[in-house]
Amino acid sequence: MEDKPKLDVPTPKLDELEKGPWPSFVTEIKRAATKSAMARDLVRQVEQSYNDRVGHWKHGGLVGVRGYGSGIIGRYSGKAEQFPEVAQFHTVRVNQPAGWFYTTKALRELCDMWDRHGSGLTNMHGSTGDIIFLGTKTEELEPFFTELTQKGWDLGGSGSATRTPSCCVGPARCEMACYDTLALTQDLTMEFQDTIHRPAWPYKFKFKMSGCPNDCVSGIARADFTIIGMWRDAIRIDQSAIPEYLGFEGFDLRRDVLDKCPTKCIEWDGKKLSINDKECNHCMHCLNVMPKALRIGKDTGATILLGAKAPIVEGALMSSVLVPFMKMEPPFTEVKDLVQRIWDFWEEFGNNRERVGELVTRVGLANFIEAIGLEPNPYMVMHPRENPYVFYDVDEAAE
Amino acid sequence: MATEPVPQRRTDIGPPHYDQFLHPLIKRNYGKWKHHEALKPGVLVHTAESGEAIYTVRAASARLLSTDFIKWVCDMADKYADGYLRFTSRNNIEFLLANKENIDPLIKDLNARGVPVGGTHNSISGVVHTQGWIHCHTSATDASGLAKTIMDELDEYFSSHKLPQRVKIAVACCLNMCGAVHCSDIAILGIHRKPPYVNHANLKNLCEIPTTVAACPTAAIRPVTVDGKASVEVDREKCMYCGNCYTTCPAMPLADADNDGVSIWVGGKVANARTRPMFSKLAIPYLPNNPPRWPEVTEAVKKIVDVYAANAKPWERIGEWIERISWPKFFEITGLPFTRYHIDDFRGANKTYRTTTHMKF
Amino acid sequence: MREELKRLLLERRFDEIEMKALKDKKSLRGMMAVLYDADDLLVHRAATAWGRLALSSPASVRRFMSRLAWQLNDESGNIGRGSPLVIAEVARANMELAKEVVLVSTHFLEDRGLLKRVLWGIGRVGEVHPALVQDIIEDLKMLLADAEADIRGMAAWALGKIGAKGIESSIAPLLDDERSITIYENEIMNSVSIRSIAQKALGITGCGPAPSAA
Repeated sequence: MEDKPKLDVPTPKLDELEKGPWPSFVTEIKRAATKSAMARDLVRQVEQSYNDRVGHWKHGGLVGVRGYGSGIIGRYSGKAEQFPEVAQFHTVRVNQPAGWFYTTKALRELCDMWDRHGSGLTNMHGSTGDIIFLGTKTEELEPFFTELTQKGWDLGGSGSATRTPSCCVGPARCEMACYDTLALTQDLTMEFQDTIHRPAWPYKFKFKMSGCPNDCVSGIARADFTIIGMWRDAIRIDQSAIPEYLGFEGFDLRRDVLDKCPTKCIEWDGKKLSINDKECNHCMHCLNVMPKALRIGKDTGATILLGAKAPIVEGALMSSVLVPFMKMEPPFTEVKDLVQRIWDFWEEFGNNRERVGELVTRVGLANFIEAIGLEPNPYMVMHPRENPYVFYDVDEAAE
Repeated sequence: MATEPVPQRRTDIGPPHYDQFLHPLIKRNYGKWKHHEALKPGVLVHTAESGEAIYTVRAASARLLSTDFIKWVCDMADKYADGYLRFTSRNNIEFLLANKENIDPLIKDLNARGVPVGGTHNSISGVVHTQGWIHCHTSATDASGLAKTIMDELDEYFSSHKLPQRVKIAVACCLNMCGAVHCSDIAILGIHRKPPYVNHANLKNLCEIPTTVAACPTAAIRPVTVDGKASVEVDREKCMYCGNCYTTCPAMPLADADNDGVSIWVGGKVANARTRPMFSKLAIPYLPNNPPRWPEVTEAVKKIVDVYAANAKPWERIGEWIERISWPKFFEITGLPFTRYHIDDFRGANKTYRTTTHMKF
Repeated sequence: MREELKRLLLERRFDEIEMKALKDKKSLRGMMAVLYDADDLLVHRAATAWGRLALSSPASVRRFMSRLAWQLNDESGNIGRGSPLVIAEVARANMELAKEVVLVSTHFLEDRGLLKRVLWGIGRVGEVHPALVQDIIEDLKMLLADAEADIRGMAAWALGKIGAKGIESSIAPLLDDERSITIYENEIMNSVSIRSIAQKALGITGCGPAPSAA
């Protein structure tokens, strides 16, 4: 593989971004361009964008594969006369393996298929988690899809569908994992195949599964339905592992662990560390600092939160707690049942392009949880209301 | 060729099961990991209850990768990691090694090809970003270019454990914010600063008007009849150029090379460690689009990181550091101006006004 | 549930589908998903069912109209394959439900992949509301010269349904076109020659639009 492939077209602005210590996306596009006319016109169009300081993609038509209503994003150049090879430059989303694990055999196979049907450019990965195959023509979509499924791959979600669920590395490598994030992700993905491929929702719906409150897939910021691992019994302490940390240069147990505990529930008497687990917030900090000495408990499961989204329209939201603790064991019946109840309500009452978090804001959390069959729980709110405008219902109170 | 069977077309098969992609050592110890540590920046060791250990070498990635590059990565994984690898949720590459002896040779080979190794613990693990001018038509800036130029400037923080805590940086090329930009330590957001142009002649044929009206967060759009045709008009006093109307209605473009640019946000956090998750807050309302290197943006981000690195205590994320020292102090020591744009004016803004006399002089 | 819905559609048991929709709200979700099916007949039948629902239970149909239009917006990431058919059938049955979205559907001419269905929708809407599609008659006349048989055949069909005048010279070449295309009419797929479509379109021209069929 050439370090810096040369192209026959001048790209002075983009060439600037081949300099410097960080891996260069320009080098990647040029690498693909030595083999693909599509990639070559892409680099020319992006250079034009760098000169014009605007993008040159236009609102265009819709493309897909037969039987599916999502998974492929149509893209058309707004300067097709100048850059004919990107007149059509569609994106294919392929559902990634849970945890983004690959063998080289599988990756090579995907690369070969893509080289035969597309530009040779990918994103590993898109924000939702899918493998992104960046740039192909309409006529290649069906053949590419047929080959993909022959090899055991399938498309991800787009549009007003269930989007591809994704998860953290979980119990595959992480000792903090409170449930099997990969197994749950695989199970839900298979269970929800129809709603992933055939958009029937008011808007998009995203699932993210993190194994612990560190939330390494940013579920609380990005997913409509967020599952964050949790334990409810005692943190396991290996006292013999603590001296090693005390010996680290710059480490200060009081400053770095005890004082940083949000509920001040950890004590150190010079010899023994003790945690008042009833006061523990499960924030993960002490475990993050001393993973050899501290481990999650054994009574594990997950907290379920709902409603995160980006600012458009009503403002950004983080997911909020619906269920403080739910056991997470196959076949995951309880969580699937909750999802269906939420979907039933949102599908019926959600406006076009209304995320579930905005629907909850519009109808009110108290009404929403009643509709989906959950009892009010103080863990659903940061604190009780401060304003006295209460819609008392005396008839209901009398019942 | 005539005797080759026509491939059966399959649908709804979902992704391949992850089981087949797990390193045998990982499979043997699945769910039975005991602890981990960083051997050095970019190198993790996870030890299982069985005593076995798996080594992870984390390498930087441009995210936008050619198939040739991926195949080269596979060559490395074949040579050093028994053919097993993964990608992280922030787009880095992780080689999974059973053999400790392979760590340094792998790092040498990676570095020789210009691939830095790092991104673990208290580092900057790269810049999460999306498509920008490479593939998106609502983008107000380019994402890959910004990610590259910022990491070129800050790469010393990728391959080291120098910072007080991890710093997660993200670029969103427009307010759609594809990615967790609204909860990042540092976020760069592409913005427009002029209202859309409305194509009244064509609007009714291109746009569903109720959805377009509902798309506006500040109710700046209302239905109107122009030359006998149903259309919409934009109240310029209420428009804040978010571009959501353009997303729903192709007849309302608003990209403007001269006035588009980026804003910088700081202090967001997703993890629950120590303190609650936090939204990012506005630090710099506008910096121009100056491709290819966006020097104003790069300088501003570097300044923020340097000031944070010099002043924060161990384990403090940027947002936690600012909460401790106070936002006024943050503006003071970074030298960033505090303007009317920094004061919220959307729904719930009055909850952000300072209702305490806690002051520092 | 999906299999049952498909069976009812293929067997033209529309009354039962309407009953189902009244009793079980989730069945409408199924009626959205089935629009992506690869079986053209099935999707057209679903559109017919939506048209009937627009009359019998407009309240339950209303919320889907914006969604169907949104699926025609390429920003959405959806592929609104069924939208032109459903919007047309709902517009015919109950224009009040479709008035905000019908023009978006009938004017969606840029996309080759959806064009045949869009043309079908133009014909269905134009037959009953010709005023709404007068401004695309010129576009339809240009499509009479399209390389694809499906497109020129459907363009001629749509012009006929609208009752467009002054199309004689544009449609004349199609009078020699022996190719056949399939068109969904009266709840079944009919194979029709382009020549007979052109003849019919000319025959109707000058007499005003045909009375609306159910």
